[in-house]
Amino acid sequence: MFRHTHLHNGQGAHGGRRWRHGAGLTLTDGQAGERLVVTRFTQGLGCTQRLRELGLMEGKIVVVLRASDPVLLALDDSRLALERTVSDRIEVERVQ
Amino acid sequence: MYSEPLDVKPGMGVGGVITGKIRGRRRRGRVSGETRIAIVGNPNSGKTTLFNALTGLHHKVGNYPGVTVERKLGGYRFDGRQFSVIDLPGTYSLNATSGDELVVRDLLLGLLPSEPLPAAVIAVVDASHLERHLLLATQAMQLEVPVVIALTMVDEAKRHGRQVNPAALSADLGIPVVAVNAPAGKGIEALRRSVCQALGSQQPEFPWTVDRRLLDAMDGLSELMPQLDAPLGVKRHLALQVLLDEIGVHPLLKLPAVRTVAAALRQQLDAEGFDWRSDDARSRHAKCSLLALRALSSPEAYKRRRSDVIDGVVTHPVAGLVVFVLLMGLMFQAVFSWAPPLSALLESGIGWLSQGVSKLIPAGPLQGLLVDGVIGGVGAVIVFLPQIALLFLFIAILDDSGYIARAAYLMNKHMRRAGLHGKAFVALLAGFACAIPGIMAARTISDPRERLVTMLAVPFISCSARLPVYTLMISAFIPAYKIAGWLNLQGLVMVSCYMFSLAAAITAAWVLRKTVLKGETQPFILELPPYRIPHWRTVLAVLWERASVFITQAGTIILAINIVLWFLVSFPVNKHSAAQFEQQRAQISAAAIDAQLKTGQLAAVDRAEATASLSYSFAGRMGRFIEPAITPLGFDWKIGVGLIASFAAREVIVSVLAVIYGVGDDSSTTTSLASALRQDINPRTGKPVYNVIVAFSLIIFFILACQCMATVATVKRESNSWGWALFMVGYMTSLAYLASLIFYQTASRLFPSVV
Repeated sequence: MFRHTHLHNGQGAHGGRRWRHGAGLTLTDGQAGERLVVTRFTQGLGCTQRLRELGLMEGKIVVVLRASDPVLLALDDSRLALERTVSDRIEVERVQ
Repeated sequence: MYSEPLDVKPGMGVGGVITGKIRGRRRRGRVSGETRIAIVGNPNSGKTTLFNALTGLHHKVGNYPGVTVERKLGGYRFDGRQFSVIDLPGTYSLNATSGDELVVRDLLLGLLPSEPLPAAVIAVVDASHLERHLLLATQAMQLEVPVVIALTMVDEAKRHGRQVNPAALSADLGIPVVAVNAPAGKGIEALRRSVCQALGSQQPEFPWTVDRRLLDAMDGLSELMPQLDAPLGVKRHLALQVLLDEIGVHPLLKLPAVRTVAAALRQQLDAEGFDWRSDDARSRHAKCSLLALRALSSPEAYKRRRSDVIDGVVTHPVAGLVVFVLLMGLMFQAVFSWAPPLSALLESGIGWLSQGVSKLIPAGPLQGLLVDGVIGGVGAVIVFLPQIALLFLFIAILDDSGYIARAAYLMNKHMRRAGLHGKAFVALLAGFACAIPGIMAARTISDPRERLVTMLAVPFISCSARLPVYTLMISAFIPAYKIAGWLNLQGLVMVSCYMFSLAAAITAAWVLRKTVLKGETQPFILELPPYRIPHWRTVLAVLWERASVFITQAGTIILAINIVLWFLVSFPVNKHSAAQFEQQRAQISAAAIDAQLKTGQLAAVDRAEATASLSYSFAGRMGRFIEPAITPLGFDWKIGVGLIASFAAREVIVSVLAVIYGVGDDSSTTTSLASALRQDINPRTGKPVYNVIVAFSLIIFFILACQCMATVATVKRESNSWGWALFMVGYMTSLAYLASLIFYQTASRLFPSVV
């Protein structure tokens, strides 16, 4: 649903939010304080089931708390730490 | 399309199918007149605190058969009925990855023939993570077992602006939802009542919201299990797990019919062109999101919390490390300051008991067995309890506060360099108290190779039992000198011993991961719980469990070994020598000398006799036998006797050396023994037996050698393999020998005047 979301007349595809289209951005590329929306788990990420159980899934908005390895995210009221081998394989888009 | 149904007998449970044995119709929930309740929930949801509140700390801890996962069973009486409560390990869903999670899956889905199916399930849901925690609860609601939701952390959710309405959630789900505050004991009676009521009523099943094509495939696989004594919901969960398991480790995939049909169904679903693999997870999450939205009075939004402010420092790569080092330093400082007086108190008690028994029972083998074997063995265990208990008290406080997860986050990068998982840090930390709980802490690591590497690395960590050896050698051979007027040299050497042991553990892990335990590392994914004020009941419960594990598992083995040791050091008896010493005693007693002098001379004869007896004993002979092998390390036969004895339990070497040097067994033993060691002269060379190089050689040996049978037994049990346990003994002993050899030979050549 959120794989390739394009801007139409300045409006986004989800509730009025505007997505800034980033080419190949992953969670690793996020900066501290940035709000990102998860768009896709890429091929080869073997722990997608576990991530979904933790609430991290396509369409979820996360906030990067610490852009390091492991990356620290705020996901709703949870705080998740993901190693770079995982965050490299989660594609995101920036939310404005 | 489908093959013939499985060849099963009527009434055969799912577990019975897997094991090929007929177990008869499995009845749900009743075990010898008790109603079985299972508590499930995500990790850090407050599940164990609730279990303790329900059962009042009266619970039994064991292991599930065949696996090294803790099994906690408790009970309570309510409304004239007896309930047994099983606290299942924390899991995020029934789709298991780690050993703990597999037990939850297997027990709830009837794959554990040894465990009865629960009559009801209490699903613990954290109100501040409602959407996510409802996932497991909705899965439980599909197993045709009454479910009651225990809603925890309601006050915490309220503090974050999330007011949860239990009545609204209950109306939505059609099952009881009880808000509980387990640490304060609130809501417990209401929960018990709800469980009773739920047992007598019919509950709605949580609807499956997957794509119709996937549901058809699941039902198709379920058709292969027509005679299994399991509800449709259970069969559907099993079928979905089988379909998702493309590696082939699910127990049901051992059945050829299931394997064949599952492969065909996967192909069929792939051809349909929709993402069936994540369908259940996505639709379930969507449903749980809606449930949460309707139960919450305010929408979810990211708000910077106090935890985030603290984490800004605590998880910082530099500041966080500083905080970590300071906390660990404080912890160890407290442990090593507070434990010795308590240990001394216990030692006095043991000494008093020994004296009492010695007065009651005349001197002889029986007195020796009881005093030196049994009481000495119990004492050898009890004396470490203060240190172990204090360290685990601090670890429990840090864990319950939420800090340990942050520490694992910080340590992950460093653990990874050694091929260890970030969670291994907790196991290594526990190893500073005792290797046994440290090895058991590795159970949380899901990858079997990473778990094994952690278990094999933990024994290098300097545990409490090594401390007496370090203390003796340092006090004997390192001067009490202050560097730059403030830094205590002895203290610095002591800290270096601990750092060296940590370095050895990490290096060993790295080598193992590059050689015999090669393989990919599991990705580090960790949820950081919010910071909390640790609750005393939870902390004490954890402390009690850890101390009990140490006493029952280490203690029993050390006691048994001590008795064997007593035999080796006490027999055979040199009757001729005994007669000579008796004669000396008679002469001294008859001599007309000062009473005080007489007492001193008699004591000296006793000590000389003890030394001679030890030399003549089996242990003494073994010490002489290995002397040629340990001479290159700088050791003589006396240290050899100590080494042999310490292979059972490390701390024994101090008391064995005390006997050899005849310094008695009182509170001043270390001081007297240190003095005796410094004064011991080798009769062949005329030089001191001990010097600082020998002291360090012995310390290095003790850091690296595996000298604890209780640890070996624990590795065997946790790895389910004598091979790995014996491999550990072999490689650690070889490493200890080589390292001591290289050190002694190099140092004695560099500093010939010292030796």
